[in-house]
Amino acid sequence: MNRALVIEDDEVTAKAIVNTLTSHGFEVLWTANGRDGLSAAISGGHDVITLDRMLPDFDGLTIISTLRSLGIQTPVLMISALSDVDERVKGLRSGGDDYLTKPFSTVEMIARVEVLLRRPLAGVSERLLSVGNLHIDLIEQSLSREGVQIPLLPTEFKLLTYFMRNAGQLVTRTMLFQAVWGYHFDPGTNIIDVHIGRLRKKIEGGNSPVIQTIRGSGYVLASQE
Amino acid sequence: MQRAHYYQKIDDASLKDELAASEVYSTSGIDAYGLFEADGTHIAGDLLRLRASLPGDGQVHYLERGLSIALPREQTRSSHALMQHRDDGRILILSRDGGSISAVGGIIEQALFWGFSLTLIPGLIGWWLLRRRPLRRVQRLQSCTESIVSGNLGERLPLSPRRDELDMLANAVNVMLEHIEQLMHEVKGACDGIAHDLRTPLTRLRAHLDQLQQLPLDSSHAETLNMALEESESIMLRFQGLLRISELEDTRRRSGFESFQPAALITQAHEFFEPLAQEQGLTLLLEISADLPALSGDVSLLFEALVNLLDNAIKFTPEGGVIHFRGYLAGNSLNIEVSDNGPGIPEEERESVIRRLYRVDSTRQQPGHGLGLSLVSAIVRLHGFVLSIQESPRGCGATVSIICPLPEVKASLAAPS
Repeated sequence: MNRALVIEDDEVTAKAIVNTLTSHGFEVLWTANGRDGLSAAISGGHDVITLDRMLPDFDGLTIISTLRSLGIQTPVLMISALSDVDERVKGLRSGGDDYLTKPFSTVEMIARVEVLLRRPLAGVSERLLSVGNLHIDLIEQSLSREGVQIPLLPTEFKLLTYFMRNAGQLVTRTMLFQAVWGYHFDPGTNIIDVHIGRLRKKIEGGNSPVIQTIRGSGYVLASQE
Repeated sequence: MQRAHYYQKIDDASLKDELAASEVYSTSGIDAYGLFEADGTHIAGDLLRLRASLPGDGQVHYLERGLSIALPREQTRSSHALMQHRDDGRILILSRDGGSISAVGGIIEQALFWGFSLTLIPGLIGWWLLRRRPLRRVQRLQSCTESIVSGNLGERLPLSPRRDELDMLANAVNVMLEHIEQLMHEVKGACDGIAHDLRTPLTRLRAHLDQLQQLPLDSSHAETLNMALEESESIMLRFQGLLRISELEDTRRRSGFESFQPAALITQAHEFFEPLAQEQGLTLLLEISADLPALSGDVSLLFEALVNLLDNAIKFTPEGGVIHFRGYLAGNSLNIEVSDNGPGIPEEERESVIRRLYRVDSTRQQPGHGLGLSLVSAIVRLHGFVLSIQESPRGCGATVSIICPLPEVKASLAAPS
């Protein structure tokens, strides 16, 4: 079972985060201030931390840079009321792994937490990714199904790579947009749907994994076995 | 004239003696007379010769040139004269010299001229000298106001130690600026406050709805819940859009600027939108001139601006339409232009569409929240670019361009000032 640490001062928001994490099978520890949060994080044993950027006693940035300077590499999802791009950059630069602005949907939150858990360790370079009968060669930028090459456009390739890295995992529109195009705003529903639609057509057939749309939330690459 | 009347009454015989006698009393050199025989022979008086141009009608005439006169001068200057035929056939001429009067006139004229020039020339020099200083001050005030207009609200007009009228005015403006800044702070504070106060309840609302969704619900409840979720999603989108715009309107925020290649950005936006355009039965044509120079800006924001422009164009162009997406050099600026052949934007609404939440009446039924163009406008302003909305050259549809002045032009404009 994964263990999560929630550092959040607003009780209702904290409760929502805790409930969502619990219902996704996490064992959760909640601390309502920075001091307790920091000591809980330092004592270790957590797989992921959600951290409010603005706490009554500490700044979230202080907590995270303290953790990183102590060599604690637990993935951290920062949650902030500050949506400014500069703030995001600050948050990520001080050691945060992902950044979510309030108000957020818990679906988005849990999706990001799950992705953080699966993040490959830094420094480990992989060459091949496989889900079901789909195989990707990251160096040659090629996709093959049972030995047959399927041509993909660069964008489609990036999309599929992200899906395959997080197979079986819900990924949201903004996460995709961030990972594939590199921008941090919501481009609207339609446009990502269309890109997914194109990719879906290229990889469908046989018993290949399919990209399912989860209404109002995002997409999942699911194997058909 | 009076003299003429007087002499007329005197009988011809005593005239000569009378004239001689009056000469004693008359101002010498000014009044003169001449008595002549009918054939013009001089009998008596200082005037020596008849003058043909003087009519013998007994009226006073003005003579430009003088009459011949005995000493002290040979000729009067201009004079008033009168010629009279006496009953006995003699001719009497009386004259009053205008020369000294005109001489006085001349003196006065000269005095006026010199007096005038002596005051006017130093006056002009003084004016120029005095004007230089206030002019420089006004120029300083002007550059200062420009800086304030461009968003630097903390700036104040410079005051001189002289405490003159200009300073009084500048001071009044400064007090006003102080007020405006305070009001702006209050408004911004109120906005930020509202934003902050709304963030938490919105987060909670979302959380509650999400939790509901995880419960087993029957289908009609689930449907209502889904609608509630969608509504809350749209509220959050609008809310975040508003927050982003107010962040962007704080124009001092330029920390994220870096040099980038506009061609790459345009190509990426085109690739991003091409599938959507195709799906909607539209043609999205990309035209990029070769060798577009690099620009400085926040790539992420500019991409967002392009996404909004293209999204609008696709939304409002009917099926089968063509959208031109172009990047080209025009004079000293680089234009990024989205031109569609949809319904266009009526001229009178072009200003309003960049206001927050404004939507052209005829588009109310379309999805969207009316923040797109105002967001674009805020982004464009942050970069010092210009957003222009025009009718498409093909006569229908809208052409929205982002006009980016090129850096070297900016530099050369800045250099002389």
